Amino acid sequence: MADRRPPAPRVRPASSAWAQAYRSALRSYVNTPGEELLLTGYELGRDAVRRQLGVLELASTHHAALAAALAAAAGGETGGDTGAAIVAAGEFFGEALAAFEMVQRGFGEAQEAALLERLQSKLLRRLSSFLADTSLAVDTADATGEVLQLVAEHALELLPAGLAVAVARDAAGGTTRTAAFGPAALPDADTLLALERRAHQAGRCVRDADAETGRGTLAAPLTALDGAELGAILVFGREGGRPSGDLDEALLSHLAEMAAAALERAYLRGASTPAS
Amino acid sequence: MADEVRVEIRNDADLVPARAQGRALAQRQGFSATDATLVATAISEIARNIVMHAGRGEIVLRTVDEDGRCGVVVTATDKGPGIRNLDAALQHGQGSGGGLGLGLPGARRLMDEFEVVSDARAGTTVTMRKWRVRDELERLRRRRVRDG
Repeated sequence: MADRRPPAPRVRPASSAWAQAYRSALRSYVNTPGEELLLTGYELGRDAVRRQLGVLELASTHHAALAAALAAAAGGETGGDTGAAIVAAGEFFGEALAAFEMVQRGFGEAQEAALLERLQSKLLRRLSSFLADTSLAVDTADATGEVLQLVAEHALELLPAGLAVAVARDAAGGTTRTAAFGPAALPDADTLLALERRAHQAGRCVRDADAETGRGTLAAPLTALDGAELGAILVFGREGGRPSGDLDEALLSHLAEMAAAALERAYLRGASTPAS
Repeated sequence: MADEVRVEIRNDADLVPARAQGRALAQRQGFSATDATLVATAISEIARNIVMHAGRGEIVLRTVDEDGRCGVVVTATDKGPGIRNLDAALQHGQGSGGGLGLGLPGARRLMDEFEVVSDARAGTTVTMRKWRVRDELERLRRRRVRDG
């Protein structure tokens, strides 16, 4: 049978002892402001957090305490200065809220951490899928072509871009195979070669922006274990898209390492040579 | 010329002067009442940690002034046993404040800069800073005063 009991409350109501302590401390502060009573206000707020009281509960308790303090002020306490009483009560309330402020900022941090973790899980799944696909591709007749196409497709899935190009070179260094994926137009061969050269000279993923269009580009070298240049992955941003960041560079670098390994496996199996 | 105030921390009662001095320096630096409250709150958490874990220590409060900004620096030192797992303490806190978002991580979130150095031999030093950016008018006034 399903459990029909209501879930345990995440916030609790203020106990009468806590509320009374708040009222008493607020009234004392309104009459005689001082740091010691502000600390009391802070400790009451801290205690409220520990007891899992909600902010609304605190506000409600404060409102009742303020009303009582104003009534007392109107009756002659604090020299009848209700304005001063309101200001003082506001200072006291601020102290009580300070603990909630700390907790709320912690909540914000935890949310960001959770989002980042979800994004990382999603990206790891994509990269695993790439690994699985290339494992199948190296057994095909045109392993190089298959691997390059997979690299281009996965690069575009991982990064928000207009075009991804995967290039594989033969041992002599001439361009042999290219695979492109994406809606944007393919740049000319000189542009592709220049980007690939930059990436290999740097020995890592490099970022750039097209002088004419302003489109961002990323280029990651494909390098064999023995240091031989195998090719590159080139990613061209969308028109008006966001500039590439550190995470994009890291992702493309990771994909390039996996792609280089897949290409080497394809060559070793001899299912196809770079020249075919 | 920078203001500097030292407050010895031996028990809970010493939180009061530490907070009061922190608040006063923050207000003198032109911080809003809210930010001054946050400085006092951060000082409370660090001072409480000193009392709970080390027994005694010292808090030094100082103002800093630069052209574009000004601020308050709080340095809390003790000769206690040190924090064993600093990463965990900065994320989850220690003792009764831990797990609620209070304590060290709570203080860290309220300030703009936060550093902790801790080991069993030397004890613990927490340095935290809060900054206020000067607007154009204030910078102009400072330049006029400085240039005579």
